[in-house]
Amino acid sequence: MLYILLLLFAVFAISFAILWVHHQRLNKQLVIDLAQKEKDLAKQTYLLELKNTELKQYNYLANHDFQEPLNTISCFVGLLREDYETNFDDSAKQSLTFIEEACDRMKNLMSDLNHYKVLGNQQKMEYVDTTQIVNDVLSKLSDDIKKYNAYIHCDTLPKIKAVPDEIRLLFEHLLSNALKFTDSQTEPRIHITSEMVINAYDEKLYQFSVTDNGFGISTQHQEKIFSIFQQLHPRGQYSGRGTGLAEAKKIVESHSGKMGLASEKGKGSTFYFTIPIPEMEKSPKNFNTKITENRYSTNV
Amino acid sequence: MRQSVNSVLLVDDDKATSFFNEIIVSRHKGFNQIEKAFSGQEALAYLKEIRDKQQIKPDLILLDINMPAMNGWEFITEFEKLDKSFTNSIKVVLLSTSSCKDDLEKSLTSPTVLDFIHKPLSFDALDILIDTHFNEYTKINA
Repeated sequence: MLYILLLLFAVFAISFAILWVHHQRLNKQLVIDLAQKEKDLAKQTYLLELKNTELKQYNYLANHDFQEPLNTISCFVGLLREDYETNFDDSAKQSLTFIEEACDRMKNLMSDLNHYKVLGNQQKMEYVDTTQIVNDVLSKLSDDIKKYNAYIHCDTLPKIKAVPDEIRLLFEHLLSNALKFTDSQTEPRIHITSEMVINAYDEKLYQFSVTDNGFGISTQHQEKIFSIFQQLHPRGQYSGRGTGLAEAKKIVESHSGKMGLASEKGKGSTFYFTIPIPEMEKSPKNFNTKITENRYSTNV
Repeated sequence: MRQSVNSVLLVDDDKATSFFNEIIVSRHKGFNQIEKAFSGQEALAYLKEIRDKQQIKPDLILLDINMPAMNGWEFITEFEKLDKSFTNSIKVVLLSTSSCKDDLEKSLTSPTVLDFIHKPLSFDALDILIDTHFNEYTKINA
């Protein structure tokens, strides 16, 4: 009996020892893994800081150093025109014009890029009534609305926490696009709505949409249109320099939202964007909502 | 009648910019004498020679900020070390491409810098400059 007990004890002791050793080994491994992860993270942080510094330097370059030679070119082209234009033949005059236009375009590109760069850096968010914002934008666009004989319907939209100027710019881009990109026989009909949606992380968001009956965007171009300076039409055919949707997307993303569109060539477009619901308004009363699946057709 | 400035010193390291500035200033007719320096050191050396009575003293310095070796701000630091009774009558105006906020803000707080002009230099900018900073002459002459 005693032997059996001793044997059992021995078996327990040995298995305990094995387990303990194994546990220690695991612990050691975990500590090593953790140290490695910390090292990786430190390295990544360092690389990110490096990239940030590089980006800042590049910004400075774009602001200062690139501008100087460009200014020199346009100054001297101006002088040439002023002093010698009467002696120039048509081909020389045409060449001067091309140089001047290229300088202007380059200046515009640089200032657009600067404008795009600073968007979303503003941290000061406040409560914004989006219905009011849309009304402001519509009155700013009133000349165009009259010109195109457009019909615009806007639902009552919620209050959100956002940077007011950026939200105004966002709606301005979406609405002026909806007005502009319609064929001349069609009177634009634009519908602005919002609803509550739930994303993949079970968070409630407001989803705004701007629907138009314009000529739509084919699937292969739907991603391209959100890149800065990308235009689907020859330069000069429509006003604008191809920054609107890139800016819109950057604004939405800096507000922790997402932007997308549903469109088919010839059948109009709907541009969507989401904005998180402000903490104190998770169960809004004044707003007629229905919760639906997030229904982006394209997520960019 | 707009008062003319007797002597102006243009300080810019870029040959093309300096050439352009000289053309604009000389065509403006508001300036009698134009001197040029291609670096901060050269401008400083020029000022020191004036004290030896070898050069004409400028009433105005149009100063570029972005220059190698001694930039505009470093020139100003050295300029401020010069004898006040000598530098008092010299007006320093920055002339720069930089739309950089720091430079603009610094120029507002600097006791030496009178104004800030964005390149390219133009007749309008020179008109405003003379009207704003050389106006007391106009009043005396009127």
